[in-house]
Amino acid sequence: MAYTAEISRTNPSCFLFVIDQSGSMSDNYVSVGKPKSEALADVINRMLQQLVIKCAKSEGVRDYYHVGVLGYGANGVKPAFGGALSNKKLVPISEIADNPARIEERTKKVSDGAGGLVDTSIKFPIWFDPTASGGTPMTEAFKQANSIIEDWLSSNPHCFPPVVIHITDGESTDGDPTQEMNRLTRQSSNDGNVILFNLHTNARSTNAISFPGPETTLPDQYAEKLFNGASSLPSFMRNVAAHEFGLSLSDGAKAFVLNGDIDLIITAIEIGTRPSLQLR
Amino acid sequence: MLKCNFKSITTSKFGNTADENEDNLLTPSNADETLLRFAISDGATETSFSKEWSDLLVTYYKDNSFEQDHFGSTLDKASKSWQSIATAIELPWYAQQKAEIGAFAAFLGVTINREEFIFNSVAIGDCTLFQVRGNELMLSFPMLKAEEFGNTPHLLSSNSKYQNGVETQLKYYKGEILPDDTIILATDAIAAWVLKRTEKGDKPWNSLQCLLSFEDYKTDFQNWLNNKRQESEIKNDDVTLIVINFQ
Repeated sequence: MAYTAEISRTNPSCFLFVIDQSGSMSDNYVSVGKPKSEALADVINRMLQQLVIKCAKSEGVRDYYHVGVLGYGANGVKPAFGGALSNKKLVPISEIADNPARIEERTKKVSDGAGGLVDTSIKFPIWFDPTASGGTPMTEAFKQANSIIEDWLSSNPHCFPPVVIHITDGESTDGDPTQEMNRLTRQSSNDGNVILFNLHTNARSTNAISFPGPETTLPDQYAEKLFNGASSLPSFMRNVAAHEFGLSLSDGAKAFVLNGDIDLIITAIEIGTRPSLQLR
Repeated sequence: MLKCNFKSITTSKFGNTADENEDNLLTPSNADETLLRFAISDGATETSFSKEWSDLLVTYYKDNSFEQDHFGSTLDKASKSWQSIATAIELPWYAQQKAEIGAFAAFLGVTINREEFIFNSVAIGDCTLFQVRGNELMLSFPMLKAEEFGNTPHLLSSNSKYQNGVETQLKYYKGEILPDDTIILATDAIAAWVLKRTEKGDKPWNSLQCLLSFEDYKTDFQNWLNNKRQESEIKNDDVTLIVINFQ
C-alpha cells in the first residue's frame, strides 16, 4: 500500500517548496494588507519553525525530514534560504534548526487566562526572506525541482514520497510547464509517487476553488494546466483535511487551489505537510 | 499470603539506541512486602523530555496516591519535577519551544495486596493490563480490542494547560487474584499484539511466559520481538512488559 512508509532518521522524507517570486507577488493581499510575498514568507518560516519543533527532542533535532525552498523570479530559479543555508537545495531539518538567517522578536496575542488577550514577545526564526520582481520562469523551476527530487529518490528509494508544494499567482513566462509537472509526479519511491501541490493565490481571492474533483469547470486553460499537473490527494491527506479542517473531500480531489487567499494557502500547506502520522 | 514472582523487560524501538527508549517501568525492590506496586509508562515520541516524564510517573506511583481525590496534587508535584528537569539547562530556541508544550505519556499502575488477594489498577492511555487464569484471558484493562489501538488515547501531560479534567480520564479497576493467576502489564505495541492474537483464538501469553522463562530472556525476547516487527506483527515502537506470576 502506498504512503505507509515509516518516517525515521534512517528513512527520512522530504518537502520541497517551489515559490513564485515574480513582480506580481508584491501586490497586497486585501484580507491582510500585506504583500503576497511577505505573507507567504511568514507562512513558510512559520511552517519551518513548526517542523523543527515537531522533530525536536531534548537532545536535539531528529532528521526525519530534509526541506528545500526553491524561488523563481527575476534572478531565475535559485534555492531561497538565506544566511548559512544560502544556495543549499535540500537541508536536513537539524541543520535548518541550527541555522536561521536571524531570529526576530515578534509580538503575539495570547490568552491572559481571564478571557482577554495580551501581547507577548515570541522568537520568530527567519530562513526565507520575501522578494518579488521580474517574470515567472515556472518551467525552469519545475525542471530544477525534478532534478532535486531525482537526486533525493536515488539516495532514499524507500522513503515516504516527497511532497512538493508549488505556490504561484501567475502564468509561466518560460513556456508550458506541463511536461515537467508530469515528470515530477511520475517520480516515485517504493512507497508511492511524489505528491505535487499546485497552489494558486490571488490578492482578492475572488471565485476561489479548493481541492476540486475531476468534474470541476475551471475558468481558463492556465488554471487547467495547474489542475492537471497537481496530484490527487492520497487518502491520508483527505483524512487530515476532514479531521483537522472539517473538509469533506471526494476520492479524486486534487492537491490544487485556484485564487486562494493566504488562509486557504495555509490550509493546503498544513494538509500537505502532515505525513507525520507515520513519524516515529 | 499470596506468593509472587515477576520478570520485566523494556526495550527501545528497532533503529533507536537504548537511551532513546521513552518507556519506563516500576517493579518492587522487595517482593516480600504485603503491598507490591508495579507500573509502566510510555512517553509520547512527538514530545520532548518524554522519557523523563514517564520515569517521573512510575517513580511517583511508588509513594504517592493515584486515587481520584488525591491525583491532582500528585500530578502537580510530578509536573513541577518535570519542569525543573526541562529548565535545568539552557536549551536552543527549538528545544525551548518544544519543552513549553510539555511532555505526554500513557500510564498504567497496579498495586497488589498479597494478604487480601486483590489488586487495584489505574490507567490512562493505551498501556494495558491482562489477567490470565486457567490459560484463559480473564481481563483486559483498559483496552479491550486490538482495533482500539489506532485511536488517539488520553495521555498524562506535564503541562497544567492540558491537565483539566484529567481525573475523569483516569480509569480504575479492582480485581481479585487466585494462586496460579498471571498478570501482564504491556505498553501499546505488545498489548495490541496480545489482543490481536487472542481475538484470533491464540493464547499469546504462553509465548511471552515461555520467552521470559529462559535464563538469558532479554536477548531471546529482543530477537523474538525484532522478528515480529519485521513480519509487521508488532508495531516498531518502544516495548515494555512485566509478567507477574502468583502462587
